[in-house]
Amino acid sequence: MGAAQCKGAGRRRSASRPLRKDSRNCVIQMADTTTVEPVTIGRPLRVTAMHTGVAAAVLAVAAGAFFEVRPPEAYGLCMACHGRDLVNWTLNAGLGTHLAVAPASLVFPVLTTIGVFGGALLAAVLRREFRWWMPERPVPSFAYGAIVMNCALIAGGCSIRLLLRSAAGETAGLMGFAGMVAGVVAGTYWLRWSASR
Amino acid sequence: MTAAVATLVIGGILGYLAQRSRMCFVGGIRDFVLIRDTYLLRGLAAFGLTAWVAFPLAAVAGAPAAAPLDAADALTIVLTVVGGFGVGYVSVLANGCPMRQHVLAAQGVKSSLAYLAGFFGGAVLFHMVTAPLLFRILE
Repeated sequence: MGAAQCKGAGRRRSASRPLRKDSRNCVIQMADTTTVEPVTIGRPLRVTAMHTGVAAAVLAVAAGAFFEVRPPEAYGLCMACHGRDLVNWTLNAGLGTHLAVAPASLVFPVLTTIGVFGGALLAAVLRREFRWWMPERPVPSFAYGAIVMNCALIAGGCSIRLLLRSAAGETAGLMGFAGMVAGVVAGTYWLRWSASR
Repeated sequence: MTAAVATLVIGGILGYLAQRSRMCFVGGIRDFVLIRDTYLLRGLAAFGLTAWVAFPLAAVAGAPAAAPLDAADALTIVLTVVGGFGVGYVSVLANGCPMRQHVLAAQGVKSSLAYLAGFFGGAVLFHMVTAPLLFRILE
């Protein structure tokens, strides 16, 4: 596997460049390329984030429009709400509780979370990218998961569905998406500040 | 039943693509703020724009008419904004949006598995504790 598989890798053969890292983690090259061969880490990415974004939008709208993932509107894709439906439906069926589920999940729950997990597992195993990583901080991660789920259910959607609701023309969804962007920017500055302290 | 099978298939396709592309709906904004990298941000913009075009197209293609969007009162909007802010802020701390965490967990990252445990536990927590508490405070 050579650097030639990386887009634009040929241009970077010129010497007297500082140590640089491709934005997609393809090539790390030393300044003096006359003696050091470029090292390729991982495979070049063929599916870009833009492809995934377009596919996700088409699938999300199609799920709501043609595959009965409604009501509520713009419910085609949401990790938080669909995960909530799956957990609550299972608990209701198994333990006889009466936790809330969306109307779309009354008869049988939507299985997006299982699908995403399975699809990603398939991709990771096929491309030999699966390996166990030790937990760096399992307890904070657990807390983050619980907080994100609660905030998402208060807002009525995770980051995906907030944008989907905005695209469907819902004012509250647009405001929520703006709030999410503000939260991401604030969190990023907080991370940078705490790292530089 | 249609919805369950459809979402399982759609989720599978999406999970595969997301694993290949490292797609994250929060990481795009984070990367842009930190290092002016637009790779993930373009995915986010593509999702929003495509959905914006696809909703009217689906209606033209014969999808059942959408229920009228309920007029949101001020309280709903405030809750949505506050919840959205929390989703964004904590997702950055957790290193990725919920979908990215599912993908990472499927790749074997154990802290993401802990995240998922908290995620699904949080759903029960919300309906047992958070929602009744919110109702009591806001009533």
